[in-house]
Order: sequence, then structure tokens, then C-alpha cells
Amino acid sequence: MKHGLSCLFVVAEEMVAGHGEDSYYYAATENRFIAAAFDGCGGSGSKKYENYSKQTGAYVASRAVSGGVKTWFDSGKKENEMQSYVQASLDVLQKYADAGGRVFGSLGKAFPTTAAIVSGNISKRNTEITLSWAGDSRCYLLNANGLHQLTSDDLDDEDAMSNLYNDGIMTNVINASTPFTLHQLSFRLNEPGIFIAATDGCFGYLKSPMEFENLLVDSLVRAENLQSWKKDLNDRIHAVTGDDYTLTVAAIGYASFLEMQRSLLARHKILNQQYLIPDYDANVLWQQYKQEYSRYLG
Amino acid sequence: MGSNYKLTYNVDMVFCIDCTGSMDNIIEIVKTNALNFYNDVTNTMAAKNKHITQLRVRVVAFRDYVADGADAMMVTDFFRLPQDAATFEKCVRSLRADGGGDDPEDGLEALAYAIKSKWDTEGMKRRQVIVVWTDAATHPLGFGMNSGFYPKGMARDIRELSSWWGNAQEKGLMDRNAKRLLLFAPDAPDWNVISRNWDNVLHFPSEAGNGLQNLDYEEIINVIANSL
Repeated sequence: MKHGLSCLFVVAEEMVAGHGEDSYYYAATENRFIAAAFDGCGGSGSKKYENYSKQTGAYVASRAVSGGVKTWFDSGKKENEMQSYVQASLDVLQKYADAGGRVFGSLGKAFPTTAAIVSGNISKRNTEITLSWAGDSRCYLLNANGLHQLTSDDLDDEDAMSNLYNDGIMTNVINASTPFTLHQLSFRLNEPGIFIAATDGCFGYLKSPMEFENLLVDSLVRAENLQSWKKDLNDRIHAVTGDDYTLTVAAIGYASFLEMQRSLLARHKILNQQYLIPDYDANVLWQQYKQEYSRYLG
Repeated sequence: MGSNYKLTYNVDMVFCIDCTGSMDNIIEIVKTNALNFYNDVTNTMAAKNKHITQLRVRVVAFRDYVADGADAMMVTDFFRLPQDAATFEKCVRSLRADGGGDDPEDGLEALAYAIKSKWDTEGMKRRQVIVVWTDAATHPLGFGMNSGFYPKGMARDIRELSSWWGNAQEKGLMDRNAKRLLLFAPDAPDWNVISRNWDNVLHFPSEAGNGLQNLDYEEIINVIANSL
């Protein structure tokens, strides 16, 4: 494995121009990188604020928290200090919010947003990865063994399949009015992998988690180059989604785009032969598929 | 691939509308909004590439059993929109703001009727949304039970009504994931008890006795569309 960042990019689009509630941040230095996606919660954060150009709390929150995470990254501090930067960004929002912006109720939160953040420290010998998350945005690892959800959804629901239809209620989300947890998990990466931080606009409108993996893998193996992969990812998500979407991608350990593609050719075949059978019962296939998909979930 | 695959939504909504005298200055606005509601919500949803397969709307117009007797509660079946638009319009246009007696109203009884609706359980994704519009606090449940018009089988108190709504431990009468309660109501008893204790509630506090003028209609539509 060649330690180092192979590519880093974002695919993102708003459903309604100028009112998208997603945000993102990605950056890299010589030995660090970050790929992050944020999704302002439109239902609970639907209150508009005069002091914030009449935008909703959700719209403002995802951007402010993204800014807080950028400030953390620029500071060079360790991952366990990230939450204090997130909190500081929320404190500023609260301080300057107009008083009329109060919303009550269990769903009513001030400046709510999800976060899915992959950050890493790269040396010549190894790569240390940290995942930070809250809400229903997700970090994934795509490698030769398939797609793996790395972060547990903060949802009152069973799993990635059932939530496509049930829309569980979020049990933890970054916000300025109630306590929240920015979960964190760190590990050492021993083999090449493609890390993805995504909002639910990317994966929440497909028939099954298998379809999401196929969207990623089929798009990659058919692409001529990195730019065409990026464009095709955008086209495919755009075609199915019903929400703003943000997909940040950080690939680690590949010597070239071609090597990254080749690493997934066998998986592409398995996916189509075993999990994407026409007229298949997705629920039945999911029972088999989720063994590998969920192997890193607690 | 799933490019032809589109999630579809079956949406049931119950409007609980305070029709007492204090709502006089805004009842026409509420009525107009209710009539524009189908187009506004479907357009907002369509702009987000979300497609409603079926939208049903039910109206519960409420006042005060003690003061208004037979006129205290008007409850309709679900109207399927846009198919039943003409009947729905006739119903909404018939609403008028008068009566009510003292300041609090029987909003909890209206909410109870709404919770006990015959909700649709079909569809890929479902939403069961109750929207309450009022400028008044509530009487305790049973306040008007000496009226000959008080309904049988009503929740005895807020505790029983809470069990009808349900929680993580208790199933309730609505779909746990699909249900939403949107309160456009003052920060006053028992609306504030509900918004503090029930799950899946969004409460936009209005100023008691001052109608709902401080709430922007576009914002309300966005709240509802974002809750779907």
C-alpha cells in the first residue's frame, strides 16, 4: 500500500438554488486531510432568522459548523478538540440570532445540522483515520470487499435498509439548544480504501444500500478518469435524489486512478451477480449483503 | 440501476382550526391558506423532486363545549386532494370565527379527534401530520363534559391523550415514525405541556390573544413540506 492521499473531491448540489441546507468542507496538507459533509435539518431547523438574511436555522447551521470544522483543521489541533470548535460556531450563531427565532417541541432545535467527517494523519508508514459524526449523515469505506457503513446512524430505527422506508427520528444532532454528542472513532488504515462522507440525499432515495454501492462502483469502473467519475457520480445522484446532496470522497493508498478502478473490478462483478438481480427481493438480499456492509458497525 | 425508481409519499394531514371569535382577524387567512394548501405543498415538494402519490386532508374545527354546545366541534372525513377539492373548499369556506366563551378553548378535544383519525397505512413512505392553528390556551380535557354535546370515548385527561399519541415505550394510535404534530399555538397550557413532553412535535409559539399574524405563511408551508 502506498501511504498517501490519492484523490479528494466533492460532489454536491442544491435542490432549490440558493436555499440548499447541505454544506461541505474538504482540504489537505502534506500530512493531513479532511472530507466532511453537513446536512442542516430542514424540519426542525425550518425557522427563518431575520438576522441571517431570512435564511433557515438549518441553512445557517450546516455552513457555520462547516466553518467551525475548517477552523479546527487549520488550527492543527487533535481530533478530540473538534467538538469544542463546533460548539464555538454554534455559540456565535446563538449570540447573534434574533429573539423571535424560538421553536419549541422535541423536533424544534436551534441551528440543527448533521455531520459526517473523515479526517486523517498520513505518514510514510501508516495512515491514522478518525471519523466524527452526528445525525444521519454517514461515513463509508469502499474497498475491494465492498461498501461498509462506518458510522452508526443516530436514528430511532433498525438499520440502513429499514430506514429507507421508515424515516426514523434522529436521536442526536448537532444543535445550539440541546446537548449533543459528536461521536468519534479512530483506527489505523492497513489497506487502500475510498472514504466517503455523505448526506442522506446521496443514499436515502435508492431502493437499497446495494444500489448505493452499485452507484459508486459502477460509476468508478466505467469512468475514463477522475473528472469523468466525479461528473458521473453527480449525474447519477441527481437522477434519483429528492434532497440536497453532498458526497465528499477521499481515496487513500492507490498509486493511480487506474489502480483504484482495478481494485474494484472483482467487487463490481460480485455486486451485479449476487446483489443486483432483476426483480430481486431487496429485503432478502439485504440479509446476506449486510453481513459485510455492517461489519465495522458496533 | 435505480434511475427509474422514485420514492413516493402518502400524506395524511389533519387541520385542527380554532374557530372562536378571537380568530376573527385571521380566520379568512387561515381558510385561504388551507385552500391553497394542496398546490403550495405539492409545488414545494416537487421543487425538491419529492412526489406525493396521495394527499388526504381532514378538518377539525373547534370552539368550546360549554359556550358553544352543538357548534363546539366540526369534524370531517378525509378529503382526497385534488379529487375532492370542491367539497373540501365548500367545507373550509363554511368555517366562521365566533363563540368561544372564556379565553381557553377545547383544543385538546380537537387534537384527540385528530389522533384517532383513520390514518393511511399504505405507501412507500408515509406521513401522518396534525397541524393545530389557535391563538388560545386549552381547557383541561373534560372541562365541557357536562355539555350534552361532549363526545363519548374522549381521553379522560392529558395523560391518556399522551398515551394515544404514544412514545418510545408505548405504541400509541399513530405510526411512530410517520407522525408529526405542528403546533401554531401560544406558549400556554396545555400546548406547552405537549411540546415539552411529546415526541415528534414542532411548536411555533404565537402570541396569545393576538392571532397568528406573526407567522409567515410561506414559512408554515416550508415547515410542513420539510416535515414530509
